[in-house]
Amino acid sequence: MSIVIFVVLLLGIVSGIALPEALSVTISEASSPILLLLLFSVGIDIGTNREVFGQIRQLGGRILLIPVGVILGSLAGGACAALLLSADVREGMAITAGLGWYSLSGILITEAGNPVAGATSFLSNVFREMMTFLSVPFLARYLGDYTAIAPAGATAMDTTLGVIRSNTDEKCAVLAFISGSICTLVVPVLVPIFL
Amino acid sequence: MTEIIAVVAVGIVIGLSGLLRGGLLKLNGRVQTLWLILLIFSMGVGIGNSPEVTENIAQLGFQALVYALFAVLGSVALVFLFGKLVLEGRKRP
Repeated sequence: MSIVIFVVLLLGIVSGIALPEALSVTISEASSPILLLLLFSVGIDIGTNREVFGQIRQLGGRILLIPVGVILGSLAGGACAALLLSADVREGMAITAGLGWYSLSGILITEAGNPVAGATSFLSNVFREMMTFLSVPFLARYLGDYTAIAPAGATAMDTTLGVIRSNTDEKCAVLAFISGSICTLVVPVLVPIFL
Repeated sequence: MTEIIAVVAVGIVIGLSGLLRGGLLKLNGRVQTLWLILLIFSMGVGIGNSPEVTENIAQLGFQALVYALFAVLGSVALVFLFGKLVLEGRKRP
């Protein structure tokens, strides 16, 4: 699966660079309706496995540990990366506090008066999403289904939910959706804390 | 976000209704893979065609990559740990 994803992603990026502007724009704008079709299909999957809801109920409040782990892990990672790059630790945490939501984190940091960190955050969260597409199949296989949700961050409720679903099960798809939704709600509050 | 929750919810309701069985469910699985591939391709095109990415990648690409890698590693480590300690295996008596 990873190799297919890698090839398709690479083909897409190369096409985006090489194709005429108008065509590239049309193709990239198609991602919104395609995403909705994908999520509709994942929804059907979840609905046909009724036992999922019982399993989730059994986990109860413990399901919150997934988004909490994602958030704290991302911030700790941002701090470590900043130390490694001899950059400002708070700035590093602001960059990774985007949790994969590149458009918002980039804008928030840029508007706070740091366009370089804003551009870095945008790019870094784009990379995070790409890494998620590529790493989910490995993580699901070697470190377990819960761990496969971790790299996705906020994108677990939309763009990377499909790849999580196809490499885990319906229960994990629901957990991923919940975790992604919580992360999505947290990003607008979390990024400004470090600015 | 509202659109996303709406389409997932409608999908779940259709799934729960039991309207789709056998062949149709298999078809759902196949089209899901197709949508996934198309989504990744079109997002790739968006990335390749984004001036924010192409203009900054030479200067900021390496740092951005390090931040992304550490954010992913940190998240994976903590969720793995929480999963092992709390979410898996421990069944209540």
